[in-house]
Formats: sequence, C-alpha cells, structure tokens
Amino acid sequence: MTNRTVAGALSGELKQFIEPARVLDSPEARIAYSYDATTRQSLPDVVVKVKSAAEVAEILKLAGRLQVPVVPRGAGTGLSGGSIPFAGGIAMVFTEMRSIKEIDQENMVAVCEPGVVTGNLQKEVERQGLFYPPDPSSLNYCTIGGNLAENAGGPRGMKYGVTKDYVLGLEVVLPNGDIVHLGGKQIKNVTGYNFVQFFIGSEGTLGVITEATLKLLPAPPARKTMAVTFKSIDRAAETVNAILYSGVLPAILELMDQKSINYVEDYLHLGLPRHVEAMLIIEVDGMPEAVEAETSKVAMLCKKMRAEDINVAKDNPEAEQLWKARRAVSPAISRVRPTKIGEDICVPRSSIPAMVREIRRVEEQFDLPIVIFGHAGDGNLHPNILTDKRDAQEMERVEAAIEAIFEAAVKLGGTLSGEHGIGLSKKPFLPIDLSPQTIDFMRAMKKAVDPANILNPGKIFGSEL
Amino acid sequence: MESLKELQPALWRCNKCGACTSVCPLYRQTRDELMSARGKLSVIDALLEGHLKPGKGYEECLYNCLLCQACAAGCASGVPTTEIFLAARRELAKIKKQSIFLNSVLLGVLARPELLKLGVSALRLYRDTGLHRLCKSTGLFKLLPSSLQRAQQLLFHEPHPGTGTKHAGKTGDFRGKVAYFTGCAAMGLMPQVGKATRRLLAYNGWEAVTPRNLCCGLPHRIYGDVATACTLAKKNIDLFKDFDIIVTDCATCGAALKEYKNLLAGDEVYKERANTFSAKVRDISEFLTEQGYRPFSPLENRVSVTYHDPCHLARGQGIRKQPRQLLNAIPGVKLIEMANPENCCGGGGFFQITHPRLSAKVGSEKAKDIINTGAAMVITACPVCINQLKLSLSQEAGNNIKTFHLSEILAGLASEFN
Ligand SMILES: Cc1cc2nc3c(=O)[nH]c(=O)nc-3n(C[C@H](O)[C@H](O)[C@H](O)COP(=O)(O)OP(=O)(O)OC[C@H]3O[C@@H](n4cnc5c(N)ncnc54)[C@H](O)[C@@H]3O)c2cc1C
Ligand code: SF4
Ligand code: SF4
Repeated sequence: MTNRTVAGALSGELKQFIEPARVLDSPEARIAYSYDATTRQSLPDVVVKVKSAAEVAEILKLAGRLQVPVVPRGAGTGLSGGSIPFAGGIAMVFTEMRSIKEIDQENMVAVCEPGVVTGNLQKEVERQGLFYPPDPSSLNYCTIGGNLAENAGGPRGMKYGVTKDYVLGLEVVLPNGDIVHLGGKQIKNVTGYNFVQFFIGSEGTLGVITEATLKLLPAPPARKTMAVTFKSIDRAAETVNAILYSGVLPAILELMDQKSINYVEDYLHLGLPRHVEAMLIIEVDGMPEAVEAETSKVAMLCKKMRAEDINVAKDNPEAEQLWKARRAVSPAISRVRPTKIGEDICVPRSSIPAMVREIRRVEEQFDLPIVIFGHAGDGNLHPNILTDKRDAQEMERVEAAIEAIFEAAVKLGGTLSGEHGIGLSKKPFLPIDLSPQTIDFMRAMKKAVDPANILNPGKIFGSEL
Repeated sequence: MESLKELQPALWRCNKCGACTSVCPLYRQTRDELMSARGKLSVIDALLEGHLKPGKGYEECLYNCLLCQACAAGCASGVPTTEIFLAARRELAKIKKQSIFLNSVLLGVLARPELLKLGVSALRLYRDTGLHRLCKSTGLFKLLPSSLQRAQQLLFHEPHPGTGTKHAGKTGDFRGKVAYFTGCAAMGLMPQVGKATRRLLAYNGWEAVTPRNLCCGLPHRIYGDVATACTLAKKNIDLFKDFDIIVTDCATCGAALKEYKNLLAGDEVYKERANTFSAKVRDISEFLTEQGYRPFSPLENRVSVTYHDPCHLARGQGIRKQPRQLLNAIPGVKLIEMANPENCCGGGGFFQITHPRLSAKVGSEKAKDIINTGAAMVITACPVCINQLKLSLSQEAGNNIKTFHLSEILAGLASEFN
C-alpha cells in the first residue's frame, strides 16, 4: 500500500478535478473495491468512479507524477485477480461509464463505453434484431471493458469466436495520458499496425479502454437444444469430432463429467443418470429449416455413436430444463466443500479425453476431488478443485495439483488459460507455457508503453519490469 | 440464534462472484459495491477480522439495505445473506447506546412531513414496547412538528381498532373460526385492508376473531432489537394459543410470524410453542387456495391488473402462485404480468422514511415496470408495498394506475375505496 500521506494527498488532488462524490476513500469503500471473484483482497488507497476519457487521462498523468499505481476495474468478476489493487494506489472503476452510444443497424456495429454490462448490451442489440455473441457465464454482471481486457469467451465461442473477434475499434488512454484511437467501424482496415488486438486480453496493463466499437451479427432466428449422455468420455469426445466432421457447426457443445452430473443430481434431483461418464449439451442455431435438419443429423450421429440417451428439447421451456443441469454445476459444487478453485485450461479438442485422464491422475495423486466441465467444442475445460482455503496444508496440495494440471495441459499442446487470464493467480506458472524469449518480448512491450510501470503493475509478470 | 462469528464460515462461502450485484435493487440504482451483498459481506468480514471499526460508515453500510432477500435468492453458493445482515445489525445495536430505530425513523419523519402517516404507524409499533416512555423521557417528541405531536397523541390514546370488530357484507355458510392477525398497517395506515380481509373470510364462511395482538416484531428485528422481538413473539404466541389457524394479510407480518420458530429456537420454554404457532400462520391467499373459495362475483367492468410480488411473500414465504390463481378466478379480471414482478418496490419497512432518495429511485424502476404493462390497477399483498407503490406511481407522469391489496379486489371493495 502507498504510504498514508501520499494517499491523503492523492484523494485531495483527485477531488480537484473530479466530483468528490466519485472519489471514495472511506475504509468501507476501500474494502468493497479490494477484491474480485478470485476472493483475493488488497486495499486500494482511493477509489475513483470515472466518467470520461479526459478524466482517465488526467488521473493517469497525476498517478505518473505521484508514482502511484492505477488499477482499472469493471465489475470485479475476474477470475485471475486482474482488477485487484495489490500494490494499493487508485482503483479506477468504470461502472459509471455505461452508455451505449450507438447501435448502427445498417453497418451492424455498436459503440459503447467500457462499463456497460455485457448482458445489457446483448439485450439492447437484440431489440433491433442484432446479436452480440460473446457470452461469458457472468454476462449479467460483468462489463464490456473487463471482457475486452480479459478477452472473455463463453459457450458460443466454438462457432462464434470470443470477444476479440468482435472488436473493430477502440479508444484507449495510454499510461502517459495520451488518448489514441485504433481501428473503427470498418470491417477491413489495414491502415497502420493492428493495435486493436494489442489491447485485447492485456488485462489492463497496457492501456485503459474508454470506448469500443463492436461488430454485431444478424440474430439467428431459431435454435434447438439437446442433451446427450455417454457411457465413456472418449465416446463423447469422438462424437464431438464426428458432429463437426459431418459439416454441422453447433453454436454450443458443452461437456459435463460424471462428477458434475452427480453433484448436480445431489443438488437438484433432476433425474440425471449417475452412471454415465459424460453429458454433452448441444445447441444448433440458424434458419429454422437448417436448424431442424441439423438437429436430426446430430441426433442420428449420436445414436450411431451409441449414446446412452438422446434428449431433444421440443420448445424453449424444455431447452431451459436441459440447460438447468449445466447452469447448476457451479452452485452444486460450491455446496460440496467450502472453497472451489476453478481452472481454465484449453487443449486441442482431440486431447480432451487424454486431458481428462490426466486430471483424474492428479486427483488421485493429491487426494483432492476435482470436477470437470467446460466447452467441449473448443477444448476449454474448467477443472474445479473442491477444497477448503482455511486448511493451509491442503492448500499446499492444491497448489501442487494446479501446477501438475498446467504441466499436463501444456504437454498436450494446450495452454494455462482459455478465457480467465493470468493476472495474479496464474503468474507464477507463466514459464510453464511461455519461453523466456516470449516473456521478455511481452515485458519489453509493456515497458515501451508504460515505462514508469503505473498501470496495473505486477499483473501477468512480476512487479519489476 | 447464531452469532455473527458463528455465521462467519457461511459468509466465507461467498466467492465474490458478483451475481448478487445484478439482482440488488440498490446496486442497480447506485452501482455502488457497498450497497451489494458482496460488498456488505466483505465489510462485515473485515469487522470480524478486526480490520474495521464499527463506526458511522459501518452502520450506514448495514442499513443501506432493503432486506429484500433478492441476493440470498440469487446466490449460487447459498450464502445466507439476510441472516448475516440481521446478525450484524443485532450486534451493532448492542454496542450502540441510542436506538438506531429512533434516530433513523424519527429523524426521517422530521425531514419528510409527507411521510407522516407511515411515521405514525412506525411509532405505533413502539406503543406497547416501552418506546413511548423512552420518547417522553428523552423529550424527543418535543422536537416533532406540531402535526406529528398531534398524531402521536392520537396514536397513544386511540382504542385498538381491531378489537371485537364485526365484518360487514355477505356471509357464507359457516365453516369455522380463524384468528385474524391485525398488522400495524392495517390498524392505522389502511384499515380498509383489514376490513376487506375480514369480509373475504366471512364471505367464505370463516368467522374472523381478532384478538388484541401486538406488533409482529419484525421492525424490532431489523433494527437489531431481538430482545423486544422475542418478548412480542411470546406474547403473541400466548394470545393465539387457542386458534388452529392464524390468517394475515400483511406479507411482512406473515413472514415474521412464520419465523417465530427460528427466533425462539433457543428458548427451552417457547421452542415447541413457537413451532406450533408458526405452523398455523397463513397468508390470506395461501389460506383461501388451500381451503377452497366461493366463486367471486363478476366485476362490473372488465379490468386489467398486474401483480407485484412482495419480497416477504414471494421470497419470504414462497407464495407466488396463490395470489395469481385468485386474481384469475375473478370474472372480468385480466392479469398482465409486469417485467420482474419480484423486484423489490423499495418500500422495505421504514426504508421509505430513512432513505427517501434511494427508496424513490427503486420505486421509480418498479413504477415503470407497472406502467409498461398498460394495466389499470396494480395488486399486491403487503401494506408497506401498497404505500410505496402509490407514492412511486404518483411520482411518474402520465398514469392513473390504482393500487390495491389483493383482499380488496377479491372482496369486491377495490372501487369503493379509491
Ligand atoms: C460466475 C462467473 C462466471 C464466469 N464465466 C466466465 C466465462 O464463461 N468466460 C469468461 O471468459 N470469463 C468468465 N468469468 C470471468 C469474468 O467474468 C470475466 O473475466 C470478465 O470479463 C471480467 O469482467 P469485469 O467487468 O468483472 O472485469 P474486472 O474483473 O473488473 O477486471 C478484469 C480485468 O480487466 C481490466 N479492466 C477492466 N476494465 C478495463 C478497462 N476499461 N480498460 C482496461 N482494462 C480494464 C482490469 O484491470 C482487470 O485486469 C466468470 C466469472 C464469474 C464470477
Ligand atoms: S452471489 Fe453469493 S457468492 Fe456471489 S458475490 Fe453474492 S453473496 Fe457472494
Ligand atoms: S437484501 Fe436486497 S437490498 Fe439488501 S443487499 Fe440483498 S439484494 Fe441488496
């Protein structure tokens, strides 16, 4: 934490150009902006709710002068600690920059501020028959700014891609306070470097995003959902490949392993089969005729692959019923033990069965229950370790188990994180995945835009640059 | 009842996912973490861990809450937020010398004379609980504007209107006797509601007896005064011991009465009696749908209505279908659902008085959802909601929507009183 005299001076200076009501430094407010969904905590010295790029620029200049860190924060739902002000300083909160400035129907783009809640943007564009596909499960409360900074994805990622695939333009405030504009409404744009992507997934360490121009799609008029169970997880994985090979590209292909199925069954008593090793939730979308044809094709394929049970939802309420099981995984497993630690590895699709076996091995070796679910279509798995964070000894085993899982994932051609980012949580494991040269190159980029290391220092890499 | 410390492991189940921010009516209006359950829980945790002192900021944080239970219902990890908030208030009250209730409610009324009526009913609550003497002795009433002084005089001299009241209107074939629990609101703020409920019971063949009950104790609980809440509970339990069924038309009272079993779970003498008592309590809609009802007479003119779920009925008692079933049973009524019927109206007990600006913001969100249905009436089942909905609707331009209690429209009294 910054020394208290500096902290006091900081609030005073901020209040010179920002309404005092938006500069919070009470002990309670500092506590309430000290965490994200990793449950780690570290107090900011002061919380500022910004309203414009100009304010952001002034704050960054001030922070540069006083040498205090600035940590951007959307809704604080991050799962890698990105918005935690772990070196104190200014928590720069975007929840007041929440206007959707434009929905351009003709060009199918939306322009919005970073504090817009993802689900609200989706609802607004849907009202105009348009579609913003990225769908992190937290969409009802996370923000577009956080999504851009983490390159958030979701179940629809396999057909529709992730946040990065929808960004056409950005307004960014650089750590020195300069405001730059990158990209725009054009679908094609090669004027200058493609620096839009430079900031996507940068976890608030390279620049502060103050406006985004996002690509929209026409809303698919129909969708159909089915749930299919398999005796073996290999069978489920083979079926996923068979479906894709057949020419059908489902919007969603979600996987639940036997443990998730059983915990959900304990929790909700939906009548799920406890003996199966895997359940797939498959959703196809598009024109109604195509959806019908593709549904039959997928169902036929599943039958051919000797699925245990194939359940096609006849209507929306039935589809909701099928989704219930998948949505209940998190609540169900958080009731099993006091703490759940969710990882986010991503492996090539063909390696899913091998990865699941590796996780089972880790589970046995470290004697910790691990539940697996995730996005079978793109190989993004969420192994969740069920533990108790107050048990220091067990937590040591958890750390070791996490490392073992990461190592296995990388060996199978995968990566540490598919969508949650590195932040604080995964920073010690970065060298498992990236070569020293790659890390050096990334550090050099960070140093080039933020030589004083003001912006979200200590995330992704160590505190020193 | 568990202490805050005992509840800490349950608090730790909060994984800070943030889901509760999207369902919290106060967070939605303010986007202030401290208003959300996640923020409050971390502040409470900091206090328990000794990182924070229970000062003004802490008190404010605890009381910036409607206790609407939306966070508890929306929490995937099953964190008992409401229980934790109540325990925190209880323990704060213990270390504070002045009554938080007195301070916030009285000062709130002083600041907003238009809320006088609700304020009076708030004060009425304390009539039988020693507050009267306390107010007199501290001279607090001297500070009140003369209108309120007059009101408090009335309040303390008026006979209990519930006593021995005989219903009016048609009576059905006698089916039995039930006790009617007279809520404070039905007593002072809107006696017409109580009248409607009793008439409705009579119409269905039930003789409603109205013992001179005391306050349900919920206001005391939410202001951290559990001792008084227990005293009131015990007195009410004794008072109603000879009845098999206790009917209420106030969602808040109903929820509180059904809670007696938990409130007194640690009391060796009253534990069993409280269990028995709580099991007898029925909301009027619950009672009628359980026991069956005579056909309602058709309305003179067709009317479109929308239904607002009181927090204490929907989340508090799990009663959602019953009021809708009854509304749909009135010939001539068309029920149109509003968006998010379970969103809190912002009334929240005395929140209307203590936090007028926030309450009005939440109320406005609700009023807009009501207006968007195009319905001519909004029906609900809690006097506090009625008061708040009326106020909120009156503040939105371009509507003439009437607010009624379910009992009023069921008893055919909806037009009579507006
Ligand atoms: C229950 C739950 C489910 C989740 N499901 C998914 C999922 O399916 N897919 C997925 O990808 N993620 C998921 N997440 C993780 C999280 O919701 C996402 O990472 C989300 O993008 C974070 O958004 P936020 O607004 O909460 O950002 P925060 O957590 O506040 O911040 C995240 C990062 O973004 C930076 N940042 C925020 N705003 C800006 C800005 N304007 N400019 C620059 N940097 C900024 C912060 O500094 C931080 O590094 C889930 C989280 C939870 C709790
Ligand atoms: S929804 Fe529950 S677990 Fe999530 S932040 Fe709120 S209280 Fe905590
Ligand atoms: S009880 Fe209601 S007002 Fe209070 S924190 Fe929970 S959701 Fe918000």
